[in-house]
Amino acid sequence: MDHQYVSNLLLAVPLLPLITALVLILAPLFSINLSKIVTSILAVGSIAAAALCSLLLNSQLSNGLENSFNAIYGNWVHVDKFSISFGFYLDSLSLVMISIITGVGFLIHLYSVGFMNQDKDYQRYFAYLNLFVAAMLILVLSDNLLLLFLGWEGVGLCSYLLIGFWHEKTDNNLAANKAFIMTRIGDTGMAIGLFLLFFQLGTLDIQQIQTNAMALWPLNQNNTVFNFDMVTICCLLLLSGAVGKSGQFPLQSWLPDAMAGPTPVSALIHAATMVTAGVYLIARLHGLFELSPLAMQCIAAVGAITLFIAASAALVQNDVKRILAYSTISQIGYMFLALGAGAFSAAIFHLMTHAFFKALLFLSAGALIYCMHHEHNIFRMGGLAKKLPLVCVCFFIGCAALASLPLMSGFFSKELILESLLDKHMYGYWLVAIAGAFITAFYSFRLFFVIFYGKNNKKPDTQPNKLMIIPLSVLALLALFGGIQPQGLINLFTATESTNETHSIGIVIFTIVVPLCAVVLCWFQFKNQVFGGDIRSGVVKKIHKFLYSGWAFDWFYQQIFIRPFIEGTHFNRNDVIDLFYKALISISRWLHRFFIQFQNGQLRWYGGSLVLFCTVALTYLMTNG
Amino acid sequence: MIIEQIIVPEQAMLFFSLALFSIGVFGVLVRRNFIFILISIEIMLNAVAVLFVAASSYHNNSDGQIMYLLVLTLAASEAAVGLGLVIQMYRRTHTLDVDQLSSMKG
Repeated sequence: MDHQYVSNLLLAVPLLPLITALVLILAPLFSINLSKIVTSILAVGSIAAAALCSLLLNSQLSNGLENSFNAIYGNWVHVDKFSISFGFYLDSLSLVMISIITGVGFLIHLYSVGFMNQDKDYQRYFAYLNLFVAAMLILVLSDNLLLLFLGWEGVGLCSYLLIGFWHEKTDNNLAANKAFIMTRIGDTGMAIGLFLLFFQLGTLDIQQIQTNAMALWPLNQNNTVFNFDMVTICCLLLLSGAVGKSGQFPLQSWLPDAMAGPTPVSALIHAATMVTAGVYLIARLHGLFELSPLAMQCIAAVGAITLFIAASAALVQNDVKRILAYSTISQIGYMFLALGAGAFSAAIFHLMTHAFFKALLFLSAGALIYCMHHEHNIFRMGGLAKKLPLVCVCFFIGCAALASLPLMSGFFSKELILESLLDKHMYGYWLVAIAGAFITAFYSFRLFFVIFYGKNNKKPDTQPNKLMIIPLSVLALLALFGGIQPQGLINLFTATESTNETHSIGIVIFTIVVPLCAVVLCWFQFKNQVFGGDIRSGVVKKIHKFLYSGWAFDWFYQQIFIRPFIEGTHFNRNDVIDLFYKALISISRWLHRFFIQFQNGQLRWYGGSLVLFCTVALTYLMTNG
Repeated sequence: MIIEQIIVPEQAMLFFSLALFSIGVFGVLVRRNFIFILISIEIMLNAVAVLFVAASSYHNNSDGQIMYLLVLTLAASEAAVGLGLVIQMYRRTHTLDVDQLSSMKG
């Protein structure tokens, strides 16, 4: 393995999209007009080149004997003991991540060329998109937590810019603000976690942290699970960042609103970048998280709660993109559950398959929206199976993979997560996961049936163009066959994985049958026209409303945080601290009014003052002198 | 011819001078007519002059009396200039009320 060659290759991966993004952003400032073709070639080409680089890295790493590679390009911060370098760290985990990001990112870029060709802000869109990919690549490649945090914040910034891309509409800006602020809440916790880690361990290098932590806080088997020590605090703070970025409970409410952006952006956020960052962070620091059983329990609990809440909320939505958004939250919940169970490679495996089928679903939804003249409501589509056959096939593959029907990509990864839950004897979580799988299969096929076999016969305006079809078909193939386990993935975390036990065949069959049952049930419900019908019972109506609002989290936060805050500000309208300054102003004004009376221009008054002063002064001098 | 010296106690002289000065000050502050203000200033000058003479007789020193002559000539020339100004002022403004003449508004 040629070190110089690999480190150059590694540097090129995030730098290519970054440079393109800078070129696209700066070109209008120097009044250089890039035509649409040049812009697309630059943007798509840079990601394609990055994808090529990561492919080359793939072959390099599989040929070489070493399974990790560290390249340092320079010093960033150096103050006393605090030293941070621009360093990239490549191992199988980051390799999988950059492959997903550049691969899926490339397909989404290609699709965007077709999807956005009528938009007036074409260049700005691609600049943000490239910056997004570059930030995410820096995030997954960095060898220290500070550089990772840079990428982390870059991703947050780009998500803000892209969610609010169509900024003429106020709602979009509000959604962008919400995404930014909600993730910021988590990021604050994460930043504190970084400070604490540095304070405790004296380093921010990711590998160094894990070895130091292992030495400083050895895992004591005698400890109870609920031991609240320093490592747990650090882990929970980092978890809060991951929860914010990945849209997990209790910070999940930004993700459905983030659908305000263009559809390829949603695909990028949900599949390749942004929401996977939290999963990656925990997987990357698994050595640290494993030292704290309580933190692992918290991760699993967050995952389980999220996957159930989001899956049930997805059951009743109307907007195709919102359904997919809730399904993303729920699938990330599965990943968190797997992480909490210590099945890190299962989580990353699910991340990969999810990237494939979720990108596919979003891009086909984008094609639907494109062809149906910006129609988002699934009940106003209907009967499109014959009119848009290719989109229908792609959507079916995506839904089947999401529902983890047998032999789809999602099936293998979800199966792996369920198995590892059983391995760890987490039966309660297993039940939640199975229930989630049932609901997932149900809502994904509700979506499919309503869109493609519904009654409403609205005609599509256009057919999707070629640039949209190519990425769709590639992603469809990936979603179909992406689950055939690459050998590298299973050995991602060999050191920490427990040996697989064999399970009774009954349980395995049960997990396979559950989604199938859901699909069949869904078909019958669809035939009976349950979906989209009127609800008569009052209780059911209330439950529907509750689920529709995503378990009323927005309302809850409104009541708990926003209302008291607004009331507090109303109460404190005349700021208490301002009272001091206001008093200062009024006293000086009063003194001014008092003294202005002496300056009245009256000769006799001046004379009088003079006499008065002389008398007083003389008296004083004569008595005291 | 022997001039009989009249012995006036020093305190009486001081009080007389103080009274005269106070009357002058009072006149300056209370009167609005410019001419009366000038007259009051003259009264104040004379109060000081009286004090000079008294001090000179008390100390048996003639400096004070010489000083009185100086003050007297000064007062005469000052009155001439002051009255000249009064005439000019009256010609220009047809009033001698200092409150109305005041143009020193801050």
